[in-house]
Amino acid sequence: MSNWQTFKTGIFKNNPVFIVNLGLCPTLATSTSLRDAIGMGMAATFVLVGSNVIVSAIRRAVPHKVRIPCYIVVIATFVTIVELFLGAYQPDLYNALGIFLPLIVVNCIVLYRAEVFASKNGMASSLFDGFGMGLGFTCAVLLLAFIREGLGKGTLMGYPVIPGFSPTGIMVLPPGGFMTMGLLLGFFSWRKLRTKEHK
Amino acid sequence: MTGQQDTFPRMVIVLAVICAAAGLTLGATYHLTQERIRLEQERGRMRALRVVLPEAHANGFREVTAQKSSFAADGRYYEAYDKPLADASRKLVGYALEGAGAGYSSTIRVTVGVDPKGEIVRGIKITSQQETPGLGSNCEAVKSEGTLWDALFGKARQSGEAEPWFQAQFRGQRSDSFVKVGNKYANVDGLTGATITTNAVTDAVVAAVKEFRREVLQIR
Repeated sequence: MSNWQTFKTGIFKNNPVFIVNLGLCPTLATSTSLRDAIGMGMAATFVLVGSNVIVSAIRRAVPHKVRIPCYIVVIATFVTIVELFLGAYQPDLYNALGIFLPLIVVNCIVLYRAEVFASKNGMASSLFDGFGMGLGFTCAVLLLAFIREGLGKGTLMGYPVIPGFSPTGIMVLPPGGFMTMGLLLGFFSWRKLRTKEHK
Repeated sequence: MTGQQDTFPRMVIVLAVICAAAGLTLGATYHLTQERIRLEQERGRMRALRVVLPEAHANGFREVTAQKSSFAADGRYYEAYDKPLADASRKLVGYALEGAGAGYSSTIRVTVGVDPKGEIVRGIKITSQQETPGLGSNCEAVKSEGTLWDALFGKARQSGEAEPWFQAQFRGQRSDSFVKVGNKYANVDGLTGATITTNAVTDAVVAAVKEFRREVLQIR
């Protein structure tokens, strides 16, 4: 599989959120506004790319029995780096993401890619895989945030869209998040089924 | 993944090496960013002080720690002057204090500015909160002018300095005018669907000013 294909797989065919159904918790939690969604997506992508490359680099040296602790240390290191840099250069975003920033450590997408892909492939393809998966996650959070912020606050990126539109507050609350997520998951499964039937 | 690889000493060594490398990386990153993080926090505090006491000079704030008092846990507050601290002719224009209250889903921290007698609230600024998005978090919502389309075409600028309407209403209120009627403060416009947040902020302001008057200004 070429690097380009690896990259694309993460966004569409194997989208970590809509197709593999991983990382739903951070997706729901940080999709109340587009701004937070962009921040979360970028932070997670950085961690994914970094951990994928390092895990791939050390894959031959790591004994099988202790591989998970090794990966977690690598992932946690990258998350802490992101945390420190956001605190230093983007304090507003740092405050907005709150607890979900350190929780990227346990974002299942990151460990999933380390275990399934990076520990079995070279550094270059792991890099592309990290970017693809990260972008796939970012797109998913953005899509949710677009719907939820648009309907729930009547704004996009903090700006009102249609003057006089009265927002449906429930959309930015957890129930709205679950409903949006459920409908989107349904849509993507339906699409997957349909493409299968066509083959 | 041969069995040979999984000997006990090997596992320990590999894990130790990885942890050491991680530790070194983090140490370096921390060293690089700590100064900047401290500066950002300082700037954030300064911004809050300027909002709650706009009449004070930017260099006219002095941090004070109250003696023998239980005020604000650590007894810290700020004196604010109309001229830089170096200027001998400076006059005291007020105090800034920090208060906290339990909101619906988080501790809400608020900085309060009062006049020198501790009678009038000059302004408040919520410095940290994690309330329900869309309800309680509206305590920091700014009424924005113009629509997304204006913003896209550069017509409207959402200024980060605009004051949230909820916090603006505290300006100029007498500190003893906050009286609860039933479960609500009569002179505070509540946030829709977020009475707990509304009350938590007001409680925090009232308690901070009251404690400050009693402990520091010795007014009963």
